[in-house]
Amino acid sequence: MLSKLNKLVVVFTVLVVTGCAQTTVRHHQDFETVAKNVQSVVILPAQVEIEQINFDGDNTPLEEKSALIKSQIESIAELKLENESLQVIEFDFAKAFEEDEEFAYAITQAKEAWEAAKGELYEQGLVSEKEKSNFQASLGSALNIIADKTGADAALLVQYTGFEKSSGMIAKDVASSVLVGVLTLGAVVPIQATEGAFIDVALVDSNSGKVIWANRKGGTSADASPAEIVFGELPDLTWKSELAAPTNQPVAEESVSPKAPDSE
Amino acid sequence: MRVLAFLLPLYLLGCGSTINKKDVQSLTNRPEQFVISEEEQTLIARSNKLHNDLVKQGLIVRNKAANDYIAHMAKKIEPDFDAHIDISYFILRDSSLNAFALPNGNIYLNAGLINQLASEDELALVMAHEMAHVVERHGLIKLLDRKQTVVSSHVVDLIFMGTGLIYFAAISDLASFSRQMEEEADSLAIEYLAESDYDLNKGITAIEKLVLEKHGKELGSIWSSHPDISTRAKAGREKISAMNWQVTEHVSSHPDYEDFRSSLTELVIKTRLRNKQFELAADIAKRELEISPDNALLYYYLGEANRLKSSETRAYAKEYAWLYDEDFDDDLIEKLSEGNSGYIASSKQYFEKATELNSTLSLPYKGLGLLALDQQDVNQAKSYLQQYLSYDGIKDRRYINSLIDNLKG
Repeated sequence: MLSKLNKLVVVFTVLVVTGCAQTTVRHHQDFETVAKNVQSVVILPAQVEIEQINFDGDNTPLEEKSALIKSQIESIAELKLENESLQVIEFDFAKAFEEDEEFAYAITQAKEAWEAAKGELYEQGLVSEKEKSNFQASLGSALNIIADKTGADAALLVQYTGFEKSSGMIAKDVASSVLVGVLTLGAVVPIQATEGAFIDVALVDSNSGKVIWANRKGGTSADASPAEIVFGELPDLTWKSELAAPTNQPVAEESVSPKAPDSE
Repeated sequence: MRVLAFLLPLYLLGCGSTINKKDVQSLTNRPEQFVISEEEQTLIARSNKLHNDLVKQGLIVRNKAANDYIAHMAKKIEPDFDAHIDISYFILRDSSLNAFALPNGNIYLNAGLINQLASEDELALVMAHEMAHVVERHGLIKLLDRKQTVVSSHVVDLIFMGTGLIYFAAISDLASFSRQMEEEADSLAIEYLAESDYDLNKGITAIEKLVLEKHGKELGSIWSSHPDISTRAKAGREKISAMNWQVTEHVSSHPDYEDFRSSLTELVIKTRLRNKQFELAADIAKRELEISPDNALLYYYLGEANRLKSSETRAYAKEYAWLYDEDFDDDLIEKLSEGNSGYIASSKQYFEKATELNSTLSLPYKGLGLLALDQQDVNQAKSYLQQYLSYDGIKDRRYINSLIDNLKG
C-alpha cells in the first residue's frame, strides 16, 4: 500500500512539475506539420552588439569581440541544425547586399517583422511546457525574397546583445557596494554583474513566414555560451529530410490561419 | 575604509578630455583654428560605422533623381566653409517625421518627413537646421559636456508603439542635442536661408502646423524632442523681423518639388503599414488622392489600411491609443472591433475601385483575397489569390501559395 502510495506521489509530482515547468521556448501551433516541408536552413547574418559600459557614459562598441562572438554563434547554430538533419545553406550575404540593395532592405524588413512577432511571443513572459506550442506568430511574406535568393526552406534569425563593464565602471560598482556595505554596517553588500549577454533566436519557414521555433536566453558572460544553451533546446522534429519516401497517401489537412499578417 | 568609499568616486569622476569645449570652433572659422581632437575622431569613426550599418541594412534610398534633388537644394543653402568635414545628404527609408545630422557631416532626411512637407521652403528650413548642427560641431560639444556627467547607460530603444525598432539606438546617441543647441540651429538655419530664394515665414508656419498633426507625436521627431515648438517659431519670426529679412512679399517657386515629394509616397505608406500605423497610412493615401484622384495604387493602400484595421484590431488599438492619448486596454480593443464591419466594407470598396481604375494592377486582387480569407470565405479567397498570382513579378508568391495550400480541401 505504502509502495503504491509512494509511486502515486512520484507520478503526481512529476506531472505537476512538468506541467508547471516554465520555458522560454515557443513553437508555432502547426510546427510539426511545417517541419515536414523544411529540409534546408539559411542562417541570416547574426545581429551581434557588445559594448563596454564606461564610467563616463560614453559606451564603446566592442567591434572585434562582436565579430568573434558572431562567428562563434553562427558556427554553433550550424552544428546544432546539422545535428537535427537539416542542411545549412552557405550564402554570401555581404555580396548579395552589395549587388542588390532591395535584398538588404528585405533582410531588415524580416528583422522588423521578427521584432513585432516577439511582442506576441513573449508578452506573457515564461509559459508552461504545455502552452509553448499555442502560438501562431508569423513574419508573413518577409522571408520570401530570401527563399528566392537562397533556396532555403527556412531561415534562422539570431540577435545577441552583450555588455562588459570597464575597469572604471567596475571600480564604481565596487565603491558603491562598499559604500552600501558601510552604511548598512555590513548587512547589505550588493554584488553587481561585470558582464552579461542576451540571445534571441527564431527558426522561420521562409514560404509561409510561420515561426516554427523561437527561444531566448540570458547569460552572465559576454561570450557565446548563451548560444549553446539556446540552441540546445531545438525541437526534435521530423524534418523533410527525415521523412520516408513519399507514398500516395494524402497529407493531413492544415487549418486556415486567417490572421496571417501581410507585407509587401 | 570609509574614507576610501567616499574618495574613490571623486577620483573616478576626474576623467578628462583632450580638448576643452571652448576650443571647439565653428567650421566656418578659419581652418587653422580647428583642433581635431581624439574625441572628434572617435565621433567621426562611429558616425561612419553607423552610416555603413544603414547602408548594409538597405535603409538609404538610392533613387538618383531624389538624391540629386536634395543635393541641388543643399547647394543653395550651405554656408561656405573649408574644413575637415564635408556635408553629405541621404534620404532614409523611414516613415517618421524626422531628420538628423551626424558629427561626420552626414545629414539624413527621413522619407516620411519629405513626403509630409508640402513645399521646398519647408524642407529647406529642415536641411538648414541640420546643417547648423554639423557646422557648429554640436556632436562634439555634446560629448565634451557629457564627459563630466556620470551616466549609467545611453542605450535608447526608439520604440514606435511597441514595434521595437531598435536599430536607431546609435542615432539617438549621436544625433540628439540640447535645447540650447536646437535653438542655435534654428537661428542659424534662418540665417543660411535669408539670402536664398526660400520663403522663411512659409517654412516656419508649416513646421508649426506639422507638430499639430497626428504625426507630430512621433517619438524621436526633431520637432517634438524639445518642448514648445511655438516658442521656437516665435523666436524665428522675431529674428527675421529684427534682421529685416524678406521684408517684401517673397514669391518662391519650385515646380519640380511636388514630383520629388510624391515619388516617396509609396515607400512611406508601405513602411507605415509595416509598422502597424494603419490610420497614419490611410491619412497619407487620402491626402495623396486629393492630388491624384485616379491613382489606383493609392486606393489599394487605402483598402489595405482598412483591412488591417479589422484584421489586426489589437495593433490598431495600440496606434489609436498613441494617436489619441487613450488607454490601450481591452475596452479600447472592444470599442474598435465594433467598427470592423465598417472597415471591411470600406476595404472592399477601395480594392474594387482600384481594379476599376487599373485592371493591370495585381495588388487589389491580393487585398480582396486576404479580405475574403479574414472573413473565412474560402472560395472567394482562393479565387482572388489565384488571380493575383496570375500576374508577373509577384514577390510574395511563396507566401500566397502557402495560404492557398492551407485552403485546399
